[in-house]
Amino acid sequence: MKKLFALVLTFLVLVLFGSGNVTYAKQGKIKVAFLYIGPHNDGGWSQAHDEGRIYLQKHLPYVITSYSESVPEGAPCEKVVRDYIHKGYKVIFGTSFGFMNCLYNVAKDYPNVIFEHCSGYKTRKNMGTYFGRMYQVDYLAGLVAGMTTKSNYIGFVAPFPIPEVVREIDSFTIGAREVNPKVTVHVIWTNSWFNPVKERSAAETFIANGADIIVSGCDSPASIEAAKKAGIHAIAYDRDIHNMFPKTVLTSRAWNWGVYYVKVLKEVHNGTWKSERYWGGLDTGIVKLGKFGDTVPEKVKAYVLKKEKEIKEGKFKIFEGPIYNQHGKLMVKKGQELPDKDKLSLQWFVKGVVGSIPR
Amino acid sequence: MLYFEKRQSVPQRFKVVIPIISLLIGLIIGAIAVAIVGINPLDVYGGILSNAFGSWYAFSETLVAATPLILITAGLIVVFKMNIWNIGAYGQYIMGAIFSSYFALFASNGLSKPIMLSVMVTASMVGGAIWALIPTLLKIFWEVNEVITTLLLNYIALYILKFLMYGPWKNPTSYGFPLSKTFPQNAILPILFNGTRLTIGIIFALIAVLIIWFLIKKSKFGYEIRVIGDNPLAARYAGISVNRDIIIGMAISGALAGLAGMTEVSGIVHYLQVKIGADYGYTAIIVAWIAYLDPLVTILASTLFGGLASGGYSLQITMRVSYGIVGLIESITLFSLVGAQIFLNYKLRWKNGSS
Repeated sequence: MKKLFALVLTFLVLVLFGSGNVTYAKQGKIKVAFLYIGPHNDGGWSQAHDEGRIYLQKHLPYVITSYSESVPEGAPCEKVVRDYIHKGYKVIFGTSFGFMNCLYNVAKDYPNVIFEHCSGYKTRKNMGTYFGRMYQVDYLAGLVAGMTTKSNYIGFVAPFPIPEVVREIDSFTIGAREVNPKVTVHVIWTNSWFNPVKERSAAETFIANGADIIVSGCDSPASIEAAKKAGIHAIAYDRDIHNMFPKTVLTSRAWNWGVYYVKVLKEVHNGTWKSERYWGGLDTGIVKLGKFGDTVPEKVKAYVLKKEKEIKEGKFKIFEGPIYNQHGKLMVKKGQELPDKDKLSLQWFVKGVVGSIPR
Repeated sequence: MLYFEKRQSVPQRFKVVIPIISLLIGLIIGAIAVAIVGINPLDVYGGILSNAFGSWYAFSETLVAATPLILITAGLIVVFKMNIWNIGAYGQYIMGAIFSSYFALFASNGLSKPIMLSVMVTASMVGGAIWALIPTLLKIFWEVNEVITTLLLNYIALYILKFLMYGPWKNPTSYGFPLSKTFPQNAILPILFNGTRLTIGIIFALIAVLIIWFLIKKSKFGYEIRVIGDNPLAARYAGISVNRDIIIGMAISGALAGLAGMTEVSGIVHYLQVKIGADYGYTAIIVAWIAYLDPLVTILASTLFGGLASGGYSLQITMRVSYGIVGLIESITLFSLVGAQIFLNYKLRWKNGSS
């Protein structure tokens, strides 16, 4: 028994001392940590953030970045964040809505650490939020779809009935119907950000009902693959995946977080960072329209790029009235624009959407 | 040829030696896997150890993860000893969280903290027990296999939780996201040590273990459940009310899983959401086995597991290994720990000649 105890003890000591060679950051650099909800190479949401992290690492020599992937939203998140802080990390990016309360709780205990939370709504003096006006890109994608559909039936594979997604469906539909009033956009909820099986079967349902364009609002490429198999078109989300599906994908609605991460770290470096609710549009580069598919006609490209320029210059506003809801009720009067606070809590579909928002 | 021979009696020292050896074997296999992807295994194991036990803060986080495990495992032991397989701790945990959250969200006005928390503790135990009694009654009256029913009720509990989170219990100011309102102050378990997240939930867990230990080792009920586990028919002939004992056992098991759900939402998360760590309900099944269904060993085994889980997340930070590697080591270690238990009751023999 004693011998065994000694053996185990020796093992533990060996292990503890053997681990002393972990390398830490060099002096004078700002340590930045990223939390991902999925694997860093998930091909979607988390990978888009990781590409932003790599962009940041390349562009600012004075930062050192690290990340934790597949971080659960519940109890373990706080431990991960506190671990980073104990190891000297000064800026924490939480890249999923579910990290909100975790960051909010930890931020209270560490006023000298800067917290940036993606897509949430709780802020502190040392905790800001950031997001992009993806709805502007959705509108442009809607134009492409409206001008290229032949069956006038478009299927939108949607994750959760939250305002962010409702906004995407609405602005996409506004775009599609601006150029083609016959279009209807049909919605199926998967109730998951990442569920290839449900996304594929939603796409197949649309295809069986005559859809010739599938829009993915989820994080896996499953619905795009279903479209490819059926020989129809699709519009991608999260990242520009034109290279993977040059014929199927008409265009992608892509995140480009790197520009924002560089902006934040420059401000931190200069001591000018302030907590804010950042919601950047096409003009900032945080969201962008991906490459056009091989089959998209030149005149469509030209029209979409013209509209993109107008949005960037502030000449064109997507949620400007008159806008009617699904049931034909006037929701935004002519000459008025839906204010940001209403965009952020949007819970109704515009005219032309077929589907409902569960309550 | 090689064959297994049943041991007449299990030497006491084997109960210590076999798990240690199998742990080491598991770690060695894990080390080979880690080395193949080009990482020094000593760094990885050292990382897990120091991230789980290396400082007071790390250790407190290990105990945070161990708290629900101890509670659930203590309850599972009672039914496992009767050879009743409650796979439903996952759902019982969720029901405990839902029942206690109801009071935190809708009936907390004006109650003092001790009263409020007592109400929530009671509600969670009632909720978990109800969820465990449904399959128990099905088993007793219609002989429906409890493995299947307890497992399926897990999904039903999860969908009830999802329904509440997307529907009636959703916080109106959460911009449509599926979260409840934050619990009021009087519905939050007090912290034991400042600077940690360790709540008095761990004390609930230790008290539960003591009660279960007393029940199993010192009470008539404990004697009866051992007889039922060895031979239910003999138990019946001996005049033991087998059905009554199964009902009591499942109620205890469900109640403790429900309490674990309460300590998590009230002590750690502070609101209700879809992800509240109900997976502890599955992990606890393995912990119960590794602890030889002994309530006191449960504390040790749960702490070990809590450490593996909490150290594993930190390992990503210090070592830059992917989360998959951590999960791989955990699974290999578990497999060898549980698998090696065959050597407790059987010995390997070599027989010469033909057979």
